[in-house]
Amino acid sequence: METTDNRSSTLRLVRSLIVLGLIVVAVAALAPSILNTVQEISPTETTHVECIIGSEKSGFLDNQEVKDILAREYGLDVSYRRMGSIEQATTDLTGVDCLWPSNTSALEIFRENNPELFASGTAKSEIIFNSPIVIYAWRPITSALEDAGLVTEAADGRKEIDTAELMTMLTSEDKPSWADLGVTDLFGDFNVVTTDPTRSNSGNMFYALMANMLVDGDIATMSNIVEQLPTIKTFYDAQGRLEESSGILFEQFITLGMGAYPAIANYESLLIELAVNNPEQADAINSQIQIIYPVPTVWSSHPLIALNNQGKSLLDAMQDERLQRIAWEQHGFRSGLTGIQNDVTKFAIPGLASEVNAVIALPRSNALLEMLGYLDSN
Amino acid sequence: MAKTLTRMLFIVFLAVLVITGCDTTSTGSIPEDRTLHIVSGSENQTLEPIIQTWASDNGYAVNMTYMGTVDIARMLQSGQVPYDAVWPANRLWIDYGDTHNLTKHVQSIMRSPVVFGVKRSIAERLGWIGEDIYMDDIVTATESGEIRFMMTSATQSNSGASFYFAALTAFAEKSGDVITSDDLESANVEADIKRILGTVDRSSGSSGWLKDLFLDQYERYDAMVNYEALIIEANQELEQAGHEPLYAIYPVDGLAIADSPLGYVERNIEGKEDIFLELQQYLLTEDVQRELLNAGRRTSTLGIQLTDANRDVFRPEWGIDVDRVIQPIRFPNAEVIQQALDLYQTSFRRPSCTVYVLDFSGSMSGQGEADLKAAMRTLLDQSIATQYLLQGHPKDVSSVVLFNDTIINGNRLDQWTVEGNDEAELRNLYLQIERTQAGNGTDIFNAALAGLEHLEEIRTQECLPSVILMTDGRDGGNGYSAFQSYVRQSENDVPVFAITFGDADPEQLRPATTLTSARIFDGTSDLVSAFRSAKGYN
Repeated sequence: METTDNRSSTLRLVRSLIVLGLIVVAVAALAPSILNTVQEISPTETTHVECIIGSEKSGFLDNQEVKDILAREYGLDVSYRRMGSIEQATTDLTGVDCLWPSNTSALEIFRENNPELFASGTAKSEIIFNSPIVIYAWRPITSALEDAGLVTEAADGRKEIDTAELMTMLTSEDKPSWADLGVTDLFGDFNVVTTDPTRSNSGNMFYALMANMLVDGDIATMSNIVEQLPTIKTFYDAQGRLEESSGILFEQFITLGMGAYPAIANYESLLIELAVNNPEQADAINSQIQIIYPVPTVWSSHPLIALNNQGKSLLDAMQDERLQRIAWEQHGFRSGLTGIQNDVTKFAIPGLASEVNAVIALPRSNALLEMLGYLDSN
Repeated sequence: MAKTLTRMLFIVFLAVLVITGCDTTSTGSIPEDRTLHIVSGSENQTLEPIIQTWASDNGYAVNMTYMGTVDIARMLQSGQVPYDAVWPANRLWIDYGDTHNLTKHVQSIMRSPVVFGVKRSIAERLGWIGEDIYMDDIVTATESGEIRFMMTSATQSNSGASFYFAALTAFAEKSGDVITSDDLESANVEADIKRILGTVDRSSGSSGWLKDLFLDQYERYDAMVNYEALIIEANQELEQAGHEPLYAIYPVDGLAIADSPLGYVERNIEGKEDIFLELQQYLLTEDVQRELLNAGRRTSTLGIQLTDANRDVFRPEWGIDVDRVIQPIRFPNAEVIQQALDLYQTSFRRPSCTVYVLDFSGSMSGQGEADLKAAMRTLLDQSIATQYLLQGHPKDVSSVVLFNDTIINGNRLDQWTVEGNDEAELRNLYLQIERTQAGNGTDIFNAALAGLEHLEEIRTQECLPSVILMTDGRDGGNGYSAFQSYVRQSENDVPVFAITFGDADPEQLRPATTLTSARIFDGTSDLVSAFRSAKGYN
């Protein structure tokens, strides 16, 4: 599990690999389109690709199977450093071959700032993975919310919550207490904890969803978000200190338990990754923690932005079905590519949705930035 | 501004914390590139053998230094961290302190809630056994004198800070909500928090040391704020000694959980990161996690409740409740945390009554005398003291006894005493010290005794009393037996701390600090931090 999200201090040492000419031949057989790219740069050596990524993907890139496929089949050696999504859009690109943020807003901002890169065909982007923002709740919390009629069970067994109702409740001046909801073990008011939206993507996306709901389920814009900003900020200020990383929030939710974090908002991929990496605990996890899908939710999309040919060679490699399968089966990322199905029966996670279709678009990036600036102000 | 000051403080602060009697080593002949330097909260001190065994089994050395978690956070803030790893009590303080992004691979090793441990018979008398207890119940009991308790300094240690923030949260305008700047400025909150902090009877700068102090002073005190794990450790010792154990209270409306994160500090030293990761992985193996569980730490991976706890360790009759849903408070953001810590220092804490007993004998002349004067200026010139979070409280009482082979200012001590924190008066006190010259012989314990007697005249009901003896420790007098019999006969509870200077000999001072349940701090390399350490105890 990653411990830092937005800290950009660590530049991994470049690992130099010598690749046999044979591999290039193999690549030629398997993926001719990529071969051209690889050969142009260096026909006999490994192509090194340096990316800036959102930290939730570091587990995937560190996965030995992934490294092997990239090296063996595509002659690629990828190293990365981590950075917050929005920060990536405006960072110094010296020596960087690709960006891989965790939302499309970062892509939008980057495009607006660098139109010439896309016009000239130098840069190219595609959404590689998707993961919906979900609510995780401990079982007694889910039961209480079901009893209160807030959470319902869909035909396929997934739990759902009406996002508009949830956001209205969270931002209401007289929120119900836990006791009102029948959770007598807990003191204080009903809440859903997020990461700090000004520092971390998953929190940012939950607040974007909140903004959409507060403008009557529409997509928040520069003009209609303004009126809702004080309400959103009141909610934000009342949260106190929030974690700066989705991974840390999830780790804290898991280890500190229901008293500390009755319910959180985070990526769907995290529970899958936890269950896959801790098979001996799968039963305990499944019996104690419930995924609740907000209806609608937002996608955390992972667009890979290739900045040059090296970046493009990674973008092409990521079309590989084996890599897409590893991303889903070991790291919980749903494929962002058309035509690839994610098989939920691979996991024994109750209520894992086979498909997530109730999704609302994010506000435009200018409205999102307006909101983040407002939250950050005193 | 505040950050720059904090940074200044810690740059000078570090060296001494290393020296002030709290680091342990297993270096031997192991080279530096196989040595891991870890700075940790003192609550982990009893776990050190686990780490040292791992080190010797693998040909590494581990050098452990202990200090309060909040002090670790301030060190991170300064950007100057001469360690390879930090192991504070709560991740909150890494987030708060690590503004330079020095740490990575931060991972919780174990969990332990901060509880109020009170002698069982008192808990019984108060009807607390098995009941829901609120912060208000605790204040009522401590105020009525039913309970005399200890907690660590909130500006130095996580357990004290946790209890402080938990109390603030409980007393906030809407109890249970995250505290705000407005809460801290509210007269009601101020009154309530002063009520509870006003009843703290002894303090220390870190939680492990507090447990030791409590055991040492068991007859005099009834309760301490500490981690559940340290209440368990204390109870194991108390039971062995045939004493009554403590009963753990988990306040319903004000509780925090320590999650003991171990994090790597990037100093770009080749190979250290791998050694660190090896250690971290080792501590997270199933075997070590079980060992930690048996040492009273919660290591369940799913939630804080324990399903497989050893009931001989997590004993229900000690109030240890592993099935309870533990709901910690939510902490405010960094600015409000800073504001709360400042207010603790200058307003909310219990005031201090301190007699500084200063050595002006001939052996101090030169560097020792210069250092001593500089140190007193740091404390008494409030513009400097503020930079080091050593500023006075409006109800502090400060007095100075000067000595060589006699008490130099013995017949006019009232002129060397300042009540409160008036800047001009404190500065004037400093100027009087500045004008004093070193000379003649040394009678340390005669002076220490004079300090204790003088303290009885100036101390107020509400303050925490202490004597701080500043000397090179080269006693030429024969006053120790008189000092010793005074302490014993008067059942005096005042700690006599010693800060050593120049060519110091701490051994001559140790019997006095031991007798009064105090400590010796090394001021030879950094007085400011020695002061902060001593001040953590009052």
